[in-house]
Amino acid sequence: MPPLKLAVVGGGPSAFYVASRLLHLLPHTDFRVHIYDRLWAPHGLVRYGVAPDHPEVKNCTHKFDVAATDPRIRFFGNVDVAASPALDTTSLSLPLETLLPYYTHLLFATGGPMPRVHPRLERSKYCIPALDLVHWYTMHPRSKYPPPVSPIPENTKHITVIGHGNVSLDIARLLLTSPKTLAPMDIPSHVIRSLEETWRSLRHISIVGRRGPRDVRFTAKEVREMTSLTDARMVPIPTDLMQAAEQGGDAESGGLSRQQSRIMKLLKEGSKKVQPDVTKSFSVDFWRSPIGYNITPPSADRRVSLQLEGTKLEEGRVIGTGKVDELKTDLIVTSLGYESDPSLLGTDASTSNTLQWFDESEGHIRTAPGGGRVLSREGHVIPNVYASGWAGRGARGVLAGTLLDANDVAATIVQDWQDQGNRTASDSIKGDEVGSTTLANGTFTTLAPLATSTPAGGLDAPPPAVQTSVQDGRIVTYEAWQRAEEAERKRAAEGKERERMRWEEVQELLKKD
Amino acid sequence: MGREDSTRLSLIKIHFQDAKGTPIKTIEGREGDNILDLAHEYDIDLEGACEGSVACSTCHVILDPASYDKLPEPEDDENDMLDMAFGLTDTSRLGCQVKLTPDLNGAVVKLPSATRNMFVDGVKPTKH
Repeated sequence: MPPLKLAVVGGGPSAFYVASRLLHLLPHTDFRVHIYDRLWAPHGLVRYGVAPDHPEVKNCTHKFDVAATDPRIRFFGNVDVAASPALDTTSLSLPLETLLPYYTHLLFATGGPMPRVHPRLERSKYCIPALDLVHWYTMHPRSKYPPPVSPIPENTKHITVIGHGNVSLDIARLLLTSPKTLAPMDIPSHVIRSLEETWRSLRHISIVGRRGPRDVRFTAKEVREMTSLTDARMVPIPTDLMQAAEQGGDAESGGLSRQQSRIMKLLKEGSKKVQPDVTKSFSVDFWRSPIGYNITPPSADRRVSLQLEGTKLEEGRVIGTGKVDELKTDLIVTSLGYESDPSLLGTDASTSNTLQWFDESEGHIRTAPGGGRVLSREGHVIPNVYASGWAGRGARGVLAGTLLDANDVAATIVQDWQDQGNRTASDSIKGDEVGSTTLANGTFTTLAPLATSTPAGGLDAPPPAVQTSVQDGRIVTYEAWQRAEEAERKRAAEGKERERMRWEEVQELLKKD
Repeated sequence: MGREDSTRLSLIKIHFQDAKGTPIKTIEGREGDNILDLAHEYDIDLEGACEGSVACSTCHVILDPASYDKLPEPEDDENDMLDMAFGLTDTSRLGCQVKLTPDLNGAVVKLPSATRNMFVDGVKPTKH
């Protein structure tokens, strides 16, 4: 029976949950999982996405720490498998095809790192994706704003967030919470200093969506946090708008789900709350869609004039009403959802068949329902190749969904592996069926196939370039990450959760050891 | 051991079942123990990603109706998380928020499916 040696691309929660589940399903089997991440630190969105005022959510990493102590699981941070060379010079560039002969199985757990853009809202100093802010306050290694730069322009009084998801609320909540309250949390000190400046000027955040209260994507906890802010009040939502949503008078049909009715109740309660002494406010604005913006002359009171068109539902689809309002604001922040990154599958669709595993219309890798087997454009299963988490199902849902999905995928990997083993033993089918079916069809042209018997490097070894880079410290192992993490906690001011490190600082630290 | 005996010894019997209602294990806990901690102590496959801080729904369990009714109502924060639980029922709770009391003796705690895919859920991995 060929061994199970799995390469995982991406080291976020999905990757670690799959690894963890494999340990659970195969407690006494000598398999290997090598998790690669293009960043030096593991844990993906748990480190670079979870809001700093939600530290409890990060407790899941304790389970990842336990999985990583098992010698069968290894982590290699700072390895970029994208076909195009890495944007930075930090990470080791290791295109996917050089990786594959060393493994029998491949899992994409690459998440959804690409923000959806709005065709009418061109990026500028005054119009940025929410991810810019998230990368900034989490000190993402590829953030466009190196310390001490802030993505929020000076003297910003009014911010407009486009999109009704939890990322929008995270951003509104953080900007409407006193930096003094945020300071002990996992936010870099230079970010706190910038937030203090924003805090002095900021008066209002408008959270705009093109649908109604029934269709919001944010969840009850986040709404509750908004309506419980001590320094900002909620602008009441018009009663008739809420009533229409409750009665289905907005052309939608069907009853409300438990989640919908609880969120609507929170919005109504928030609308009634009286907070006369606060100077900041926010509004949740429905049935508006941006159609463009102008940057106003510096003498103007606000830096941007945003055109919002009224919307309504027609046969379930959102259409514009033609009625356009101008909203004077200082910064537009878009949070319209996220997609997976096709670049790690190849750069040219005409030569790279792996790129055809990517479903452009869905924005993630094409998978069979349940279990994460990757499918070709024609719907054929690509043997031994899987996608889990947001990479395989799209960027939606919380950690609980990622966990269930990872359990599915791990069980499928084990099942496929055991089925192949049984077939090899009983029917003496050669292993070359595995991993190269499409090669026989002449369609699998650019990618070296996965190993079908003993992989290159044997059961243990990653590709030689990886081994070399582990030795010279360019690649961060899980042990090295844990040293860095400990140092981040130790160097933080008393009472502060941690003070994040830049890669340069991590390198210095690891050299000393 | 009969019901009276276990109550006198402050041991509270809990019957764990899988998603299909098949018994997994019957364990004995003490007053004040919570279902999540007990599941971990007795190696029952219940996740607890946020470790009992009511920031996720991974320790979602389904109680028998009689036991559910003996518990105080869930707080808002627990309900916020239950909103997002898969396979939510009228007697769903977060395991971390269910603290044992003597009158829960004999409660049946059903674990929702560990996966969403019943096909792969049935896999019985062989040991090598």
